[in-house]
Amino acid sequence: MAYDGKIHITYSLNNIAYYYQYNGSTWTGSYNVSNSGTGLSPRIEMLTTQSKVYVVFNSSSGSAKSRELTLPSTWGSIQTLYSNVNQPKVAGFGVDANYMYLYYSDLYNISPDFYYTFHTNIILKSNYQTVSYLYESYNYTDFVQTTTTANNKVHTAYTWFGILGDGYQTLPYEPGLVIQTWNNGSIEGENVEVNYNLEYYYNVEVSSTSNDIFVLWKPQNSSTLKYRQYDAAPLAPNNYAVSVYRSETNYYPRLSWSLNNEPDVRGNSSNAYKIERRTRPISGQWSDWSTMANLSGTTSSYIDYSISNATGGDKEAEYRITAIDIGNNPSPAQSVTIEYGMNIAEKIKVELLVSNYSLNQNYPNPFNPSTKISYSIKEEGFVTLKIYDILGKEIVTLVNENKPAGIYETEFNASSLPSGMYIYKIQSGQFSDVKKMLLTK
Amino acid sequence: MFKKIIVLLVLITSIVLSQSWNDIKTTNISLANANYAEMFSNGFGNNVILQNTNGSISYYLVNASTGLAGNAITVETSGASLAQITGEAEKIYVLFKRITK
Repeated sequence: MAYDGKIHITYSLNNIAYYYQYNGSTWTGSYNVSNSGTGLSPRIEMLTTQSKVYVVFNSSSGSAKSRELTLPSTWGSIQTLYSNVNQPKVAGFGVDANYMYLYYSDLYNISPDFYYTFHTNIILKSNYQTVSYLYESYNYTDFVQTTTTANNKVHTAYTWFGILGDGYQTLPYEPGLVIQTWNNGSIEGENVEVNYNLEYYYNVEVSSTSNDIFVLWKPQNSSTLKYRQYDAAPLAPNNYAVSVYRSETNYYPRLSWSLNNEPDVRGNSSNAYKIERRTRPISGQWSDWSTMANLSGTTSSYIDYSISNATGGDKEAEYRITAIDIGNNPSPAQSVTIEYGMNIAEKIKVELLVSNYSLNQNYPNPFNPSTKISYSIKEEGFVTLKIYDILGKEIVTLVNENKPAGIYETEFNASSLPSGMYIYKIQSGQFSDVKKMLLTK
Repeated sequence: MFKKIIVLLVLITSIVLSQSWNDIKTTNISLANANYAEMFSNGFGNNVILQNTNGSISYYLVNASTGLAGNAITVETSGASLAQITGEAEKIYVLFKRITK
């Protein structure tokens, strides 16, 4: 059984592998996956990832086969993963973005000797060709569990135990419970001994959330389940955003995020989410970071009441969030920024007025000796406002600087200029406009 | 400059080393009267079901940090087999075969 928004199941009926999916109200998508009968140990394994369902099964011809469902209902052709091996048993498989990792055991049995070999085939999913393989002789492992973590690594839990028969006696080797990790087609590091206690392990289960791995098992000499966790750093909180919270006549930054899926973040009661803040004047120097709050793992919002008039103004605040698990592993930080300092009513008024670029007619016009020129800037940018005579010769530059969006007015004094027609020109980004004015002395 | 490099290395090392296998925990779940256990992990913790030998199904939520489970919840009282568990961040699903009563 697997889940990715729908429940997917496979089962064997009359030695044929079937598939069904459940959307919460009805069962649909019935499909004969294997076409013909399954073979020795009619094992059917299924995994889902990236909108696909993968089914692996023993075929009746002594080979292992797989079939891929592209959701919602497009089945690919049956692929042969291996063939011509001795009494093979599919032990399980794992999938990441590009590869399938197929585990199986087969038996070498030429009397009086016999032994099992545990195989791993690394299969490229794009063409279902085996690109490399591993094997461990004398290892009879016919069941593995896999999980794929958020970092696209496949982790396989299996019990290792060897059996070698020489025709007269059976020799057990040292047993073990190990985790093997695959990273995009290559094995990563050495196998990890989850437990090394010279005993056999039963009921091994492996599961994961984000990059944390959880292994459950029953030891040989106890009926009580044991458990171990690989404690990875949490993922950065998803959907981290800042909005505005209104309280009476003021407005405050409100941060929100989705709760992390790692249980050791949600279970962290005091410092699962660390909120930090720094501020600056727009385009100015940032202050140092300061910690604003340490919140529990079940908290998904925070309002900063120490900053007023959020949403606009001449200052800026940046908020950084880090998720921290019980083992004190921090996630990568996420940041959002918000401007503040301007009353929201003022901000709305300015936004309504500055809906476009404009260059207005000077006033008064005709003029002697000074006049005022007003203009509006829709977006922050570099602005020039220059005066030319009627022949196109530049007389003076009135504005030559970066300006935030807004409405501006500047004065032009022509006391040293002769009477006549003059031209003024504004330029900001792609916007440009020209108007005439008359100086009469 | 040398001091800065030393500090950076210490920080990186401490972050890498803090990601590791935790100690083995012994749960308070016994498999003495069960055929097998299945586990699915999500934000709540490790969700474990037991397919019991008497045909019932028990559910436990195992704390991810302590390994200890709360009280068992009975999913099915009898006639169940082939129990499995799956789910997502906020939900779990238990699927089993039930003998028609």
